[in-house]
Amino acid sequence: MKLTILLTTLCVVLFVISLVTGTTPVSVWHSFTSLFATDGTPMSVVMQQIRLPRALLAVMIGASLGVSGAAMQGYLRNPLAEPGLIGVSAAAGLGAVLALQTGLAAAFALALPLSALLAALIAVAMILTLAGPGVPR
Amino acid sequence: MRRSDLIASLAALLVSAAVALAAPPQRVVSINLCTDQLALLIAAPGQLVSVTRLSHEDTDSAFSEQARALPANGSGAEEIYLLKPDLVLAGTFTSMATISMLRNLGIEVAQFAPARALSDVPERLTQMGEALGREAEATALIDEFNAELAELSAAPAHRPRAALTYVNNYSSGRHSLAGDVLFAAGSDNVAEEVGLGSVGVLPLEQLVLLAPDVIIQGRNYPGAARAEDNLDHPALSSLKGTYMAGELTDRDWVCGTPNVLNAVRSMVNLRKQVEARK
Repeated sequence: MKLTILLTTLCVVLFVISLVTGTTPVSVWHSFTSLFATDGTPMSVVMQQIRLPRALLAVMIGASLGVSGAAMQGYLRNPLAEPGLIGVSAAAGLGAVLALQTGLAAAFALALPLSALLAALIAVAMILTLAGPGVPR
Repeated sequence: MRRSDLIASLAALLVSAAVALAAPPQRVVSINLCTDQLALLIAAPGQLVSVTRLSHEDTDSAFSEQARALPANGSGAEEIYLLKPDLVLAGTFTSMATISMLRNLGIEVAQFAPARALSDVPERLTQMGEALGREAEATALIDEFNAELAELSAAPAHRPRAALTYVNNYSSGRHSLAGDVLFAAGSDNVAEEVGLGSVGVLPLEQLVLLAPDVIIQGRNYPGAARAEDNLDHPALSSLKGTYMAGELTDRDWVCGTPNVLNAVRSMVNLRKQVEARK
């Protein structure tokens, strides 16, 4: 419980630091007032369209990596397991590249992630089929 | 042999050698997109025998139509040698291995530096005219170029602040061909305000904070590179007071040929458009 609180606090602190970090140094106060301003000044555009989406994306990517790591570790009963172990990462990469190169990614917004997920599913199915049910004990 | 005969024959030999040296090359092969275009402008009919493959493409070559009349080469030493050229035109960034191999095989190679400013254009034309033995044609083109440039770069009443942004947030400052085109057309370059002299990265955040009057974007080539997503980032369209001019840097911006005047002309028109919006 203590660890969870500590890690959550760390996550929030890093989120805030990410919001006030950029190529152009701007004061923390100015950054936050711009974040909630609706005046369309360059600084509020930077906060609302660049820094906030960037920080949110980092949290969401981190969360999904954490979930997939936890799922792998439970599934494989190996505390060091990660998705690369059964080819998920590489196959998803292949699916994404195929979507980009065939122009599918430009067809609709979700084409790229869906293609990556589909490729990952196919790879996992293939690997599990090839590996078989395992050695009976 | 009498001494006077000897002198006469020596003189004849010298004269013929000089004529041979000065005689314009008959089979010229170009292995660089920009030398292709300069040579297409200046060479005598039949003098240029091959251009690079890139020159055949409409996206990059301003003279693709004329270029397609000539066979294309892939700039490799082997195929160039088999074309039996007496002069090869290359860029200063052409592979050194290819150039030294051709020189070792006894083929003359003339190298042309890429244009970094509009003032480089007459220089390259002169160099090409000398290399091809067509000085008169080069001079005529230079006079035409200078006259037209002077007309286009008449000082404007007000210089808008403009930005050039390409794939992966690359930008051009004042000391680049694109930057010079912008400057000559009467706009100031915001990249200079953050110390970007020639070509480099101008981060999206910095570009937005500079809030230029107009943003000119590089081309979005066919295909779907992630790097190109920056060109339609929502932050750019939410800037009030910034006019998004769209993709304007086309094939006329690539090489230092008189065709860059088209780029200058389009930037002058854009400046007037921006002024009219105010």
